Amino acid sequence: MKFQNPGFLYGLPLILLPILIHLFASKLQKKSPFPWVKLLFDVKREGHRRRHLLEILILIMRTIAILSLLLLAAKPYKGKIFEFKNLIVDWSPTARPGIPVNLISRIQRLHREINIFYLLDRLYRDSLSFDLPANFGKIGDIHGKTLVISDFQNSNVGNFKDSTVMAVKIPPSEDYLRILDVRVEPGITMKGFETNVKIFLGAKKKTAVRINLYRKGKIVTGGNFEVGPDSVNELTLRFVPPGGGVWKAEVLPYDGLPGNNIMYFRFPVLEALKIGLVGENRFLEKAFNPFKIKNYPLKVIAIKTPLDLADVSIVFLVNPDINTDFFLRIIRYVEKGNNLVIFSSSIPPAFQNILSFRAEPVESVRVVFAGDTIFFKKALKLEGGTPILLDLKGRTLAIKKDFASGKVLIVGLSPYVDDGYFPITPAFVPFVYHLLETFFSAKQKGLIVEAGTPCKLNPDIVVMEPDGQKTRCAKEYFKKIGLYTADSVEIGVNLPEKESEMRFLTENELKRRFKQLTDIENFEKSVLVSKTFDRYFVYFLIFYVLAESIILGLRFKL
Amino acid sequence: MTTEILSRIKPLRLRARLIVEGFLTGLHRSPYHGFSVEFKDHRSYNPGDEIRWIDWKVYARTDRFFVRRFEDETNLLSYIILDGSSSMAFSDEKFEYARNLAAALAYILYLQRDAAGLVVFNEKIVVQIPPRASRINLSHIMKTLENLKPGGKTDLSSFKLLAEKLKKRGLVILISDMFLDPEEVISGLKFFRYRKHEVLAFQILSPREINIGGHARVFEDMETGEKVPFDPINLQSEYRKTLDKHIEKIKRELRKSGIDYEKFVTSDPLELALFRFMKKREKLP
Repeated sequence: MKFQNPGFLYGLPLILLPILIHLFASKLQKKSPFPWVKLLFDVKREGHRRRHLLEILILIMRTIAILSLLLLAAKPYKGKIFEFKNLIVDWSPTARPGIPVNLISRIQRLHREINIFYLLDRLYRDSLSFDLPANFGKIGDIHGKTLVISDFQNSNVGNFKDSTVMAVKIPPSEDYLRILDVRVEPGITMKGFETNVKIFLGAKKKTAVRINLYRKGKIVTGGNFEVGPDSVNELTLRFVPPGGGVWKAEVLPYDGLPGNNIMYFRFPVLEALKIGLVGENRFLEKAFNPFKIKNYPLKVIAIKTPLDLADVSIVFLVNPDINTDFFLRIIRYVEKGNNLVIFSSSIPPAFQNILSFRAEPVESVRVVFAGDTIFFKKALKLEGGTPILLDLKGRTLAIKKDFASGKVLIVGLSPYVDDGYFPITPAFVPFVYHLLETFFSAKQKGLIVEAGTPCKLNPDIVVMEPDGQKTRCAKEYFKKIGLYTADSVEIGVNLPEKESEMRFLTENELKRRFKQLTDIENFEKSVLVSKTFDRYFVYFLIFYVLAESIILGLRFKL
Repeated sequence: MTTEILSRIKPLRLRARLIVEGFLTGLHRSPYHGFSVEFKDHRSYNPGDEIRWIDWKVYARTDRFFVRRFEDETNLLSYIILDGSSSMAFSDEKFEYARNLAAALAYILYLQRDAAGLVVFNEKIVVQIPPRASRINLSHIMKTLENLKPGGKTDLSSFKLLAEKLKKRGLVILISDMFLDPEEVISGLKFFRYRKHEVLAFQILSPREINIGGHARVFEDMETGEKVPFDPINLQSEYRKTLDKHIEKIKRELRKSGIDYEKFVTSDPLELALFRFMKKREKLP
């Protein structure tokens, strides 16, 4: 048996105290004359055995009580302590708040022989990865047994030579997913005054969160992220005017959307939009605000051609694969003064001719935000209208032209994904809305989206079929990734419904969700000490106090 | 009159007188008994004289009342045996009570024209005053009692020798705490019974001997010096039982031997002891 505080064992001689008192009590007692002590002898003889047993019992109890007090302070434990020479403590954002302040000093007290002691942040100030083998060079060779305390978020501790490592896993800090102060340093890039803000996040498993960045009590920007262990996420901020300082970042579990879904709803959309808007509709003047999505009662209707366009003010053609009949109807529709948006990288030449556009696929277009589901690698080289959206190299991405009395907008960035087609995702809605608002000042009367063709190869592509029958990609998969399938003519982006579930958790809910065991006691029990006996001593002391009280009570009664 | 008040009265003789007179005042009839049987002469009858002492033969002859007078001689020899051992010194009032009782008995015997003697003993006979009915003897007894200081151990074996010395039958009054084995007490007093003496045993106890009280401490025997650690708080009830058993045994054995026994606590009035004595005296010639 070992002791956590062996110093208290020096008090062991104290247990002799009751024995000595018992032995010498009679000698120390005051003497009283008595006429005939034989009477007293007789009395003692009668109750001698019982009283003697009681006295011995009390003596034993008092001795054990003192012993219990000493042991309670000395904290005996059973089990092995990993006798390490090196201690490495993860001081990364997730682990640091989870390690009690006094943990280090307690460990040092228990293991006086520690000769190397490192806090991880000294080694990995700029890194979130906990990769000991890779970083041995920074701290020199570590020999002998090493104890590593970490939450092991994004960590690698194994396989370094000449050292046995015992890894102590502590849970990530509860505070980690709460309100953080973010130091924002404004920077100037080619895009203007902006900076990337690194947000360190961590969660036991992949989860979706929403980060809002506040300044002076107002949300300045935000984003939805998929968070895993010790992940780092970046928010790009533009400063108008440039500014920095301490910003408040609020991290909230994003309940409303499944993890993967949020990937379609993030800032590259915004960035794409702000790249090269020219003319009177500059992005900076009329920025697209994704946080106002919930106020958009926009309904996207996937229609099956042919359709009646009588009550439709804008037709939004996505990946038009138009037959002659529908083509003629669209032309008539535009001629009547209605708006048409074509969103494609492949526009039939006849259609181009009628509209006086020229759209040639440009394979080499570099898309700024690769992987985004709205803007893909392919683009059109657009000519014949007023360019209103340029890429970083100044190439036209969207043009606008009046056609008869109607207006036509062609967006050249293709929704194609490889051989697939444009998916209708939640992110599509605000983007479309933004286009409508920017270029047509559209009211929310009706937005017609021509259905895309079924996907061919890539299961990431979702094609909405109005009749609900034509979806070739597995529906289950769509559901899994959180996209919407069309089982009826009217498919919904359904944002309002979803948003109703997208509430911010209360603080208590947040605590419950991220409740972690971070206290030192659990740590000690699980790692340093396999078994403690404290409670037995406490039980005995309670028993002793009760028994002594009862005995005292009986004495007074007598 | 309380023991406390009596103890303030220094001369023992006066104390004894007060006790006895107070006691006699409370009685309804004369406690005096006997008178001598040896005729001395006649004297003329005075109102108040008892009629039974009128000599009717003289009246027949002279037609005048004469009462008979007798030789002034005792009709009872009394031996007051006082325990003078150290144990009697436990708490001041215990020995004082015994001494007062002895003095009062001596005084009342004197008033009755009985011969009172005093024996004080511990492990041996310390004082022995032969019984006489004279005033001088009473004074001697009082003075002896007054100067008496308890000491030594209690041993009744000397009673054998003492009993042999008391040739004439009489009344033996033992005043003691009887802190001895009951067998020793019985065997000691039996010597007197063998000699046909009437024996009256007064056991004197202090209230502090009955209820010891106080915290646990070591008790030292006043006679032997033996030490016993004892916790009165815990053992009081057992002690009382043992003491009662001891007293009961003495009482039972003494009565078996025809010895009257009375127990007095020093808080009891002395008159009670005198009353017991007088009841006993009534039965004697």
